[in-house]
Amino acid sequence: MSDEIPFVRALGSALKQGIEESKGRRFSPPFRSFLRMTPAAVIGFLLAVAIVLPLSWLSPLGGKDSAAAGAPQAPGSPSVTSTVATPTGTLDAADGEGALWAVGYETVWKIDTTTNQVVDQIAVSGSSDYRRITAGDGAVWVIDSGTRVLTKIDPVSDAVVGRTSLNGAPVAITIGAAGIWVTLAEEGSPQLVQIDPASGAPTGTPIPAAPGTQQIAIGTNSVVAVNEKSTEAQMSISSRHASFSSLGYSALSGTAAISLGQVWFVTSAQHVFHASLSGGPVSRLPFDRIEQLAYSDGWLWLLQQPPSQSAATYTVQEGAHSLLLQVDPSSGRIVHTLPVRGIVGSRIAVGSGVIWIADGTEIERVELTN
Amino acid sequence: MAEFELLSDLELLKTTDREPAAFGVLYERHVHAVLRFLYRRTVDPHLAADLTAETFAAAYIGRRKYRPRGSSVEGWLLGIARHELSHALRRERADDRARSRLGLERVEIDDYSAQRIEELADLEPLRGLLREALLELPSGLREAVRLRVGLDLPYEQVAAQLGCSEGAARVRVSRGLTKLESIIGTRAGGA
Repeated sequence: MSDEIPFVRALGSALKQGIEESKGRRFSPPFRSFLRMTPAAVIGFLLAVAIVLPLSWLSPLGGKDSAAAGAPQAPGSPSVTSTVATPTGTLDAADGEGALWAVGYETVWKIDTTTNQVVDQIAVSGSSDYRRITAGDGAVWVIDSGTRVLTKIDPVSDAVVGRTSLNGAPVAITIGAAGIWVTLAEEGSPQLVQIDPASGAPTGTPIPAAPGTQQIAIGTNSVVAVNEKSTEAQMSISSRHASFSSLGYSALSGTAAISLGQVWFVTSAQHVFHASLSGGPVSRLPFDRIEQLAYSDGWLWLLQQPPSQSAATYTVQEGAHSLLLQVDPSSGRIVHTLPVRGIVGSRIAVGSGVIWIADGTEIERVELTN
Repeated sequence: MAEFELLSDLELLKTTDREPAAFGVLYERHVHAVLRFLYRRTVDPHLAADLTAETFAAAYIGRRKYRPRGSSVEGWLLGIARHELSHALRRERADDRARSRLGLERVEIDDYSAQRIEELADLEPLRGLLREALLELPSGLREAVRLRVGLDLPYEQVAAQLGCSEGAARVRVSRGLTKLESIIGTRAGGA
């Protein structure tokens, strides 16, 4: 039947040849990849090597310099210690309630963080490709912006125990000391809604949010929402009222993290900003191409894309597409740089002593090792 | 390759390490499903062909990662295809990393193959369903889908034309597509 389409036959032959020629060798050793490159790719490769790998050495904020400049010493270097394979695309991941949880288009996978194996899968219906997951307050929570449903999963029985229809499309969910909060991106009147962990339903009075509010971070007494408009770019909110402050930067989106009265967030231009929740100036950290950030174990973790998506960059280190930057939050200096597989759209989840990077096909486990 | 044709998909994957030809049988079994899946989502035979090649190259490279309890081999392949498609939509081009790693040259697609892929996808009935389903969408959602999907405008421009934020535009398009899928699914199921 495949002979009916010439392309199918030609691809089959090419695939067979590629497999035969690759038999017995490890894929894409840098040297062979280098030999196959065009001159332009070679230049790109050399530039990538010159720019990406020694970034922390060349930059005055780099790892060795920063350590010498008095940044606190990390308890160890981050390294990828294992990889979790999920059967289909992972849209988001969360560490909590005794497991790692990954959400795909129709499924939530439960992953044993001891063995790094999928131990259960839970069907969560819905058809949106925008889903987010978080774990805490005795449950696992999944939002789906297409169906506008918040799903609650019992982390012990791994059963769906609640489905709540929301009055808007949820685009972010965060859990912390100030409770569970969801951003509803209703046109013209986005809201921040607190969720009652027992019932899984909204509780209290929704807080109006600035237009375009996408991401939220949560602290002990405050929630920070980051929006994408240029005029009211970021706001700090107590759990009951909101105050807006303009940052003067356009198109804010991306992730945010909050700790010890400070917030860091990524803009859609992939820049990182830092602000104090008590007010004062907002400063930009000297990092570009940041896809995601997270705060964990006293460190700020930034997922940085390579300078370009060229094949040359990908061959800098086999399978390494991005850099995970471990940053000292007090000085903004890079402490360590780790090549990881995270690509565009990757998500970071943090646990105790572990960082998970979900890149759609698999999840990498990064730990601090001595 | 006849010796492999009685093997299950899982057995073929396991055999591939020892006998790479087994992967060829797996390819023959599932290439049409993958092509159909990708063409239906791209309506572009060239992009679907590139993504199919990348999908199988990535599947071969990642064959040891397949876990039978997660999904069928075809489901796994379609998951890879979906992932490749997602990347392609974000970068506006098909990835070629897996093909590069396998040393696979780009396989050009001829007009006859393009026509056959379109026939394979059998989109005509879906087109009729889609036309009807679009008419059922609320006007706001229909316009959002038309701007983003029909005219391929970036979300920034979709938002500007709709007079809403980019996030709201994304949500509106997502809701429109979800509703479209629901309408078409219901009708196709009832047909």
